[in-house]
Amino acid sequence: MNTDAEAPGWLCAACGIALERGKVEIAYLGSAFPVELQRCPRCGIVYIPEELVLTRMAEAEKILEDK
Amino acid sequence: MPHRAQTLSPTEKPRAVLRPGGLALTEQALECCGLPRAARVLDAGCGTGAVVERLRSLDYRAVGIDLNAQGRHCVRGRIENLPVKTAGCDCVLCECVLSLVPDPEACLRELHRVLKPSGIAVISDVYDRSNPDALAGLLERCGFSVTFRQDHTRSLLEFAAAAVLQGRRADFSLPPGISSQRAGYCLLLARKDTAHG
Repeated sequence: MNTDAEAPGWLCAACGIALERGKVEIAYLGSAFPVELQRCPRCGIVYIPEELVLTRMAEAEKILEDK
Repeated sequence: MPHRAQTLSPTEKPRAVLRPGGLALTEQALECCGLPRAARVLDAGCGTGAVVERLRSLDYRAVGIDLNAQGRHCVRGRIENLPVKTAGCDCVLCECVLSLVPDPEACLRELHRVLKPSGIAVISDVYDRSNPDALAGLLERCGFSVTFRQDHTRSLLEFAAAAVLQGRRADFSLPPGISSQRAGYCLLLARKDTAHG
């Protein structure tokens, strides 16, 4: 999952340093998934692009809800 | 010939098992089978050969067959026409395969042929939750007695969600005729019914 193009040059508001692409775990309804997202290398806060939330994440949630 | 356990070297990357439940489901199924070490196991539809590799590390005499077989101890061939002698296997694995082949009944009859009397078939696959007995019925028509049945639909949902999240949608598609709302995943163990031939 390439989110670099979606979040170029973001800085962590708390730490003031550039976010880096790295593996994070997204959990929903008891299931966890490793994905690559922009995260702060110091405090670990993760940036999730709105487009990702509205598309792949929304679709994955719907699948897991088994509706 | 004595059988030696094979293990992955530290530099060798384990190959992925791209199906719901992954290797953990296969190992659970084998535990249920209670096979002795050195049992002859055929992985019909072995893909990358990851399961064969794992089984050999556990001292099973495992081989794999797949149209696009990869890896050691795996050969190319069709499940409908296995290059394996009659009644030579203690166990056959057929995981996430029957829903992808044009003639699942022909595959099952061939798996039946290569199994020893009372040998076990391990089947895991997508099924239609609105017709939950169809796969078991097909197995029985092909000369098997279903001895164990377990739903693993949650694994299917997780597999599909992971594929969507990680941008690997192409790794996941349902068989024709099964909608995403009705698709489930199950594990079945079936014993070769010797009266059937």
